[in-house]
Formats: sequence, C-alpha cells, structure tokens
Amino acid sequence: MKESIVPAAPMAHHTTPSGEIYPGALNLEKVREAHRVLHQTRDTITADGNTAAAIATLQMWRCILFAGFPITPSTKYIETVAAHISQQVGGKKRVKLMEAEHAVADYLVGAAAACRDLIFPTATSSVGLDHMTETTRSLGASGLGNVLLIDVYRATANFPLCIEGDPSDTLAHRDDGFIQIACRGKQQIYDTVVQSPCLGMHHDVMTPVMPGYYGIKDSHRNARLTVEPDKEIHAFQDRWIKPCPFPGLVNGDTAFGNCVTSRHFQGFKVSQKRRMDRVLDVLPQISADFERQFGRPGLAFFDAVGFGDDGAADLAVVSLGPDFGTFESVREEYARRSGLKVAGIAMRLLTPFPRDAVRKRLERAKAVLVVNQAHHQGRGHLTLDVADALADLATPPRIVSVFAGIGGADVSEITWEQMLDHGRGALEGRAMPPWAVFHEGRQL
Amino acid sequence: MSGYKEIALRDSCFRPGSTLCPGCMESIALQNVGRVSDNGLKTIFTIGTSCAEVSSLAFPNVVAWGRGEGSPDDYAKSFSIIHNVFESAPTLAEAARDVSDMLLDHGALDRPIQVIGASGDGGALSIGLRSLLHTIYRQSRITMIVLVNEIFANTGFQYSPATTPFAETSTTPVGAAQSGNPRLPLDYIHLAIAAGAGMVAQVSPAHGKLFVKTIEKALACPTTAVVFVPAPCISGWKFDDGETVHLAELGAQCGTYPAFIWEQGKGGSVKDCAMEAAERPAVEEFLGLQRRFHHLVQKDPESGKFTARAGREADVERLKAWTQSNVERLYRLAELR
Amino acid sequence: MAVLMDEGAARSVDFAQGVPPGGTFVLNTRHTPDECARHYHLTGRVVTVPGDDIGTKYLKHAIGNVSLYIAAARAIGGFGIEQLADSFLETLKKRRIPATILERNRAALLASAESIREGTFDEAGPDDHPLAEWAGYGDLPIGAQTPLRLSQSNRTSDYAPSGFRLRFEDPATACTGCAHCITNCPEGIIRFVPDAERGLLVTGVDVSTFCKLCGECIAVCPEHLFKEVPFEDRWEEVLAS
Repeated sequence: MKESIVPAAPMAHHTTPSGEIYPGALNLEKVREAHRVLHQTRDTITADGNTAAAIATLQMWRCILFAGFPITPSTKYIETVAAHISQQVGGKKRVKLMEAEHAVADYLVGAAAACRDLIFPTATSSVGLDHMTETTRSLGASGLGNVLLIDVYRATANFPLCIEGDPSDTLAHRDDGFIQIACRGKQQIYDTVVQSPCLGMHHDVMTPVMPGYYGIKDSHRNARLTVEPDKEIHAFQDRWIKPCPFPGLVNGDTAFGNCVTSRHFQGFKVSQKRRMDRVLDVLPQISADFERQFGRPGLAFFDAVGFGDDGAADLAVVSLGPDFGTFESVREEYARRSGLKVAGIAMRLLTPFPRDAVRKRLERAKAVLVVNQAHHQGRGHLTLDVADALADLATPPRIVSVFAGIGGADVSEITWEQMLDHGRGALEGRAMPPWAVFHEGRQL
Repeated sequence: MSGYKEIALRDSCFRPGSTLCPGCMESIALQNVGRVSDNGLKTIFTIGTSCAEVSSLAFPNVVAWGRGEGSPDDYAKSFSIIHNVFESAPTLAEAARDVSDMLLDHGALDRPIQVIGASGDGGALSIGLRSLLHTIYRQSRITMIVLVNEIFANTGFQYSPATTPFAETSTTPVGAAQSGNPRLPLDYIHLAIAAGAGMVAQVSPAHGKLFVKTIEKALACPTTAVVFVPAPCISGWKFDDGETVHLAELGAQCGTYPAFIWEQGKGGSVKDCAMEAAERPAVEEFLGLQRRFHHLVQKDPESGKFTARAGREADVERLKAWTQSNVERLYRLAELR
Repeated sequence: MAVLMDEGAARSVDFAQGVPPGGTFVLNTRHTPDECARHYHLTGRVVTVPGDDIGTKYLKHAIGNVSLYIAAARAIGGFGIEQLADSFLETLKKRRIPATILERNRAALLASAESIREGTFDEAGPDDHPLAEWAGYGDLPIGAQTPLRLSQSNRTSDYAPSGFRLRFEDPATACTGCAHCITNCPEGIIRFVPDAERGLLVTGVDVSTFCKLCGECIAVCPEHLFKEVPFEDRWEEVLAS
C-alpha cells in the first residue's frame, strides 16, 4: 500500500478531558456494512464452549481483528475463528497470530486504543493469562472497555502442570481491574460474550471484561446451543454501545498511559474502583434488555436454586461452574432424604463481587456451605467473599468451607453428598474445621 | 525527498519542556523525528517505558508532545502517543498499524496514517527483544526507533545487552574482581536483518543529514524499518556538558557504533568509519571522555592523548579488538541483500 | 530546614513553603542573608554560602554542593570543620577519586567554612508561602489519558545552572546555514529564518524559557557563534540597597 501525502484538510474537533477528538476521522458504518452474516435466522447447533464463544464474537460487526495465541484448553477459540475467516473469500476480518500471550495482550491495548469503538477479543487460560499479567493490570485501569479477554479456566501454575479446568487462573487475577463473569453451559457462554461488551463499554463503566468458563468441562463438551441471527445481536449491542466520548489513537490528539506521581495515583485507583462498582447497577439493566429481546435470562449476579418464596434454607451452597449442575441434580433427593431445606447459588458475577445481593439471598439460610474449586492459601477465595458479604448481619449463617474439583477433579454426586453431610455439622452445632477437602466421595 | 534544511522548517511533534537531562540524545533524536514526521500524514507514536517516556508523559502536565500551540484543525497535524508496558512499543505500533490499515481498507478511514515506535535498548533488546523481533518478522509497516544508550538509564544506569565491553554500569561495577561489563554486546543489527526487516540503520543526529534522510526513508519503508540511534547519556556515561553530539560522532567514527544503513534487496554501507583501525580515531580518545571507562585509560600529560592505565593494557587491547571486529562485521552485513 | 542548592530552582518552586516558624534556610548564593530574606520573604534563620564561586575557584566547576554541605552542617551545629572534611573525603576516597582532586576538595571545604554568613529575619508576610490546600482529586481523566502539550509552563530554563546563560551573537552574519545547531538542539529552540544564500540563517535562541544550557550548540557550531556568559538575575533588593 503506497502512502501518498494527502492535501491538508480541516476537520472538526472538540476537547474532552482526555484529549482532543476528531469524530469525522472515522466512519464506522463502513465496518458494519462489510460484516458478513453467519446466521440469518435463529438456529440450534451443537457446539462446545470454545465454539460458542468464537461464534458469538464472529457475529459481532465490531469484531474485525482477532489476536490470539494457543493454550490448552482455550485453543479451539482461535482455531474456530481462523477456520471461519479462512473461508471468507474477500472478507475483511483478520486473525493475528502473536508470538506469546503477553504480545496478544499488548496488541489488544494498541488496537483498542487505536479505535475505541471496535471490540477486540481473545481467549486464553492459566499461565497464558499469567503471562499477560503486567498488561492486564494496566488494562484494568485504562478505560479500554472494548477489550474482551475470555479466560477458559485452567489450573494456574506449571509446577506441577495441569491442563484441566479450575477457576484459579481467573481468581488469581481478581484485582487486575477486569470485570469477571463466570459461565456454565454453552448458552451462558454465548449469551455472556454477547452482553459483555455492552457492560464494559458502557460510558459509566469503561472497564474491560473477562468472561470465563471451565476448561474441559465446558470448553470441550458439546451441547445444544441456540444462536441468534447476526442482525438481532447487532440491534441489541447497538442499543448499548455508543460512540466512545474520548479520543482513540486514530481519531484523537491525545496521550495514553501517562506516568503519575503518588499524588495522583491513588485518585486513579479510586476512580477505577468506582467505575467497577457501577457494574452492579448497569449489569441488571443489560440483562433485562437481553431477556426482553431474546426471551431467556441474561447476565446475573448468580444462578439460584431451591430458595422458594420465603428465601429461607437450612443449608445453602455457594459455588460456581458446571459442577453446580451435579449439585442441582442431587439437591431435591438429598433434601427429601435429610428433611432439610437445601438451596444453592452458582456465582456468575465474580468481580466486582455482588456482596449486597449475596447477603440478601443468603441471610435466611441457617448455614452456608462454600465449595471452593481453586487453590487458596486460606479458607478459599469464595469463602472470604461470602464471609464478607454476610459479616454485617446481626446473626449471620455459619459458614462451612470446603475445597473440591481443584485442577478439574471430578465433583461427583457422591462427593456432593459427602460435602452436604459435612455442612450439616454446622446445623448440629458441631465445631467445624476452617476448611476440608473432598474427592471421590471421601474427605481427604 | 525533501531537502534536509526544508525539514528544519517543519513543526516538530516533540517540543521543549521535557524533563530529560540537558543534552540528552533521546531529546535530540525525537526533535528531529518530530520534524520529519510533519509530512502531511497523521502520526501515531508508541513508546516503551524509558527516560523519554517518563520525562514527557507525565500527569497532569504532558510536556513536549504535541504539534503546534493547540490541537490543530488540520487532522494530519494531530498526533497521538501511547505508552503501555516496558517492552510493548513494537507491539503497540503493530496494532495501531493493523487497525488503521484495516479501517482504511474498509473505507472507514480516508487517509493512511504513519506509525512510529520508540524504545530504549532496554525496552527493545533486553526485555523487548521478543516483541521487536516478532514485529519485524511479521513485516509490520512501522518505523521502530531504538534509542541505544547502552544502559537502563531511567532506573539508574544498569547494564544492558547493548553495553560496550568493560563499561562501568551500576550492575557491572569496577572492582578488584571485575573490570566493568564482562560481556560482549548483542549483535542487534544482524538480528534485525535476520528477522526480516525492510531497513536497518544505525545513525544519530551527529550525522545530521544522514539521520534525517534515514528517518524519511524509514517512514517510506513498506515493511519494518528499524533505526538504532546511538544515544550518549550524559548522566549514565558521565561526561562533560556539551559533549553528547561529539561522543555520538566519535563513537561512530572509532568503531563502537558505526553509522550504518541497509535496505532489503539493496544491501547497505558503513558510513564515516574506515575498515582499517589506523584510519579511525583511537578508541582510547572515545573512552577517555567518559567516566564509565575511567578505570581503563588516563590522559598522558605530555602527549595529551589517552592511554591505557597500568594493569589495564590487556583490557584495552581486548576492547579495541572487539571494536575492530564490530566494524568488520558491519562491513560484512552491508553486503547482505 | 530548607536547603536551596540552586537559585534557578527557586524561580519555579517556593522553597519556603511548609517551613514552620523558627525554621532555617540554607542557601547556595552570592547574595547576603539580608538580601535573600527580603527577596524570598523569609522568616527564620538564613544561612548563605557562595558555593558556586568556591566550586569554580577550587574545583574548576561551578558546583556548590561541597559548600552547601558545610553550610548545612553549620546550620545544624555541633560538627567541627576537620571532622566534616575528613568524613567527606573518606567518602570520595571510596570512589577512587585521585589525591589531587581530594586536596582541592579539602581546600574548598575549608574555604566554605570561612565564607558562611547568617542572620535571623522576619520578612515573610501573612500571604507568603501559602500551603497548597488539597481540594480532592476532582474529575480525573480515566486511565490518566490526557490532552497533549498541556505544559507550556514547564520552564526548563530553570534547569540551567544559575549564574550563566546562553548567548547567540552573529554581528558579521558568519552563520553558514549548516544547521548543525538546529539539528542538535535537544529542545528545538534555535530560531532561524529561510535565507536565499544559506538555506537557513540562525537568528537567535529562546533562552529565557526552555534553554537548559546543555552546551551542544556551543560545541557543534563551526563558527563559534554560541557562548555561555555570566548572567545574574538582578534583584530589586540588591539594586535598592
């Protein structure tokens, strides 16, 4: 492509607190027009988790550039994207294969800053996400809500090496500044990816999103998935995603990534924190709109089961991920056999942790059994979050903390029953250990 | 191509007011790059963590960057700069290049944009070697400027893979058991060529016309152009006021960082640096002006020339041998197509 | 105690801000304590030493840090000059500074002890040296992204050693238009005009705002049209007395 020196031409511009913006520099309608439709109508397909995420991003007109690097169990995301794009003769979407996850993250920063109205997605896992850390922590504060970083959960650390799924990678990145949303099942994965940029790019939020789902248990298992027509997804997203009020590199006269002294740093972190808090107000609005348009639930703070109208329970479980489905399948039978009211929540919004909503949901439980599925130096990431959420209650439920499913270990029906039995100890007034580990029906 | 002096009449996007040290070569280089890039194309600049970055992109007062007195009505004179993490300048530049080209291809943008990345030798050759070489390998159409002051200057002048042998740095100090840097420097020019760059140059504004023309060529390069800028650092190399440009010229002429320009398909040349040591200024004259080589040479009161200190003759000979091999290697690299 | 190493800094920074009543000011300056107190509106003990001149005389460089060390020690009190000199020279010895230079330093240290002047003054008015009130962060731009060229108030000429200034003089129009100075000025503040003969003709330098007196133009000009000249900020307080 030969560069020509084009004649100078005046262009309208206006001042924002973050620099000057030249709105006329870009006409993104051209990008929307160039989008090639994947699905003309609502279809039902069979897909695994990575495919579900990939299709959702391929259907977005704002996703034209897909940077990636392979790591198990997220690799099929970029493979699916690459397969689609390789078939689009004359198409304008591109795959960008980078040399390392850190390069992918830096590339996303450059791309997202270059054009703040397009969405730049990728998928990674475990040590791949860790390799990005220096940049993810920078992204968290940057205001670049148009970065979509899908984390396919895999036990983090290479020593020993485990390629199977647990949320330790996402939980290790709790304070990077990303909004973190957990999914279970292909439909939630697809729907969450569609809604996430609406949340991240909302003008009150402007924070990148990290949707996540279990490696292997969700990424590699197939199920039926309802995919929406491209034009419906566009209509939904276009209602929420408005032109960024601040300049990007292409349409701006601006500086990103400045160096601040201690005098100001705290102020930026406070402002970042406040924008994160706004998620708690904005997410339900997006979710309600999604449900109105597509006829099924949208994003949620958590999925809840078994609470009934009065919200009371003897034993309430808190966990996340597909293993919660196993709990759901044993719950009624267990409740009947034990004569206890057993309920549970599977977390969806992890960061910011919706402590008020969790408190309200659990305040009428007598005991809470938190099932942590990631290594933690103490009682468990989730346990600490739940304990904090319940701390202000006059008579908080007793919290029993267990670990299961670390490194993707199977959390079988027998294991669930053992954990519920263990949790009953709190109802019987027994002294409980700070934490316990369960596997294959046994306490370790 | 514009005349060298005509370029001086342009508006630089890098203006006074930075907190860089008086006489900093990074500042001199960026002044010139800023002027050359005022060529009718909007510029996006990416910068790695470095002296140049922390001395200019400060909050709330961003200093030095910005063309003109206020945001210009002419879009081509507007300017953006981004800093992310230490090693990310090449990758950020590649992303800005890809996005702007894709927008152009879609018809969403009606004019091309030029992209320039800048890093120090720390950000491009040490922690950043991965990002630099892969951006070159992917033939990203950017100009990458590597400001080589042979140290991590911003953090207090530590050793870098570009450090001249025997130089004293804060992590390769001179002591009873060690004579400064014990390593030979990385052959970064060869690496850039091997990775597939469209153009590789080593030149500083001490060779003013050559520097300006090199930057112009780099901006027109269809793939990656890498310009290594020898950047004598007054605070890190420890020399007297007003010696920056002189040392940039002397170091190039004596062989520690010869001026060099190479284009893929055409080959290249070594400039202003003879193959024969006898035809070049003595290396000792270069060393003597810098306190980082204070342990190696001293001024002979009679001749007025710098000679090896007692007990350091072998080190000085080894340094001179390396300098000779450095020059010969660049002459050989010039022959690659 | 507030120590002012270089009076150039005092042009952009109120070094007396935050010094409580009864504080001490130690200044590297040729001016007398009385002139300083009136010029800078100081209340408290003012100790001065002409460090740059002592540096020039004994150390061949206009650096006042050696003298200021002695002056600060004197302001604190309880140190003997021999003790101070010995300790200082010990530190220099560790950096393998040669013996001749150590001797010059000793001479400078001793001369400094003889050149200190001091007094106690009350020249600060109620509106002087107000502590900046912190009114909160306000609306910070997200991610510290900012407009460009915000600071034209960053007067980097305050970096130049005080007592000197750059001067460009070309009475005979000797400038050949080689443009070495333009190319090699780190701040880009050489002024020039297009010229039929030379291409570019240098007309001056913007010394008052951004010149850090790095000396590159002095070194690169083949016609030697730039030089460093002594420069003194004329204080009303000195002219009046």
